[in-house]
Amino acid sequence: MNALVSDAWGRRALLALLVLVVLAPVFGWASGAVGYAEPLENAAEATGATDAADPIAPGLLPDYAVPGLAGPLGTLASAAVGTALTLAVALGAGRLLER
Amino acid sequence: MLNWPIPGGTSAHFVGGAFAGILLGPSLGVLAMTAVVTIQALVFGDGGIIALGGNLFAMAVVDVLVGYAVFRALRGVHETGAAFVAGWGAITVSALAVGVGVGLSSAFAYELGVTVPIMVAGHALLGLIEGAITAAVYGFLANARPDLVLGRFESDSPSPEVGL
Repeated sequence: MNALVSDAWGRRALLALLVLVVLAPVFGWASGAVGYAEPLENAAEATGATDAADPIAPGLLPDYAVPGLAGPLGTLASAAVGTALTLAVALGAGRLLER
Repeated sequence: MLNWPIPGGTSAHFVGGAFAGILLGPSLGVLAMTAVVTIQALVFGDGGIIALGGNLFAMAVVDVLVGYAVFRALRGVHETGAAFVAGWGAITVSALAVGVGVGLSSAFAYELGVTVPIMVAGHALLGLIEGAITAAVYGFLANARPDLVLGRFESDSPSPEVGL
């Protein structure tokens, strides 16, 4: 953490992250404004594959939503959970590979 | 989960496979993306468990290897430019792989002529943003911490600490 504050690159990296965090709700609003859909979902819609979808195990936090936290807040919390989990898995895998 | 909208009601997300390949090399890049895609499927229900194989093939294998290969081929011309083309090209080729994959399935009514153009055109456009992010982050990192970019110099081993 000290290196992050003392090095010039660390300060710039933190600043860039801060800007992205502040801008995050703008992206959320904009994707809602144009109607959220991915190319794969459009392809599924066009071919009727959407009707074949039958979720049996929706996941712990389906669609990056957290029960009890409204919309963007839940997504934000999911981002923190997902990032922490990914970091933990990557560190674990790294340790195993170092042996 | 990092989505941006494009006019006409489409949006897509940053995948990052090409960036992982550029930064970590092919083997560790595949491993890192496997962790990301698997967590998205198991924890967030983003892509199902049955589709995990297909998703891993597209985002953790094709995306990483194409991005790595394109970057290696072009970095002699222009380093940051190579990162941009790698990010754009890798996501577009991955989209082609997914388009062909789902187009050959009964759920998509074997409509390859529909799935391939939608996937490839959508991602060729959105890939410009993937390429821009890949180039921006690569340029920043190569400038600030060149020691973190594996394989930047010919003498580099795939990873100093990890024996592969």
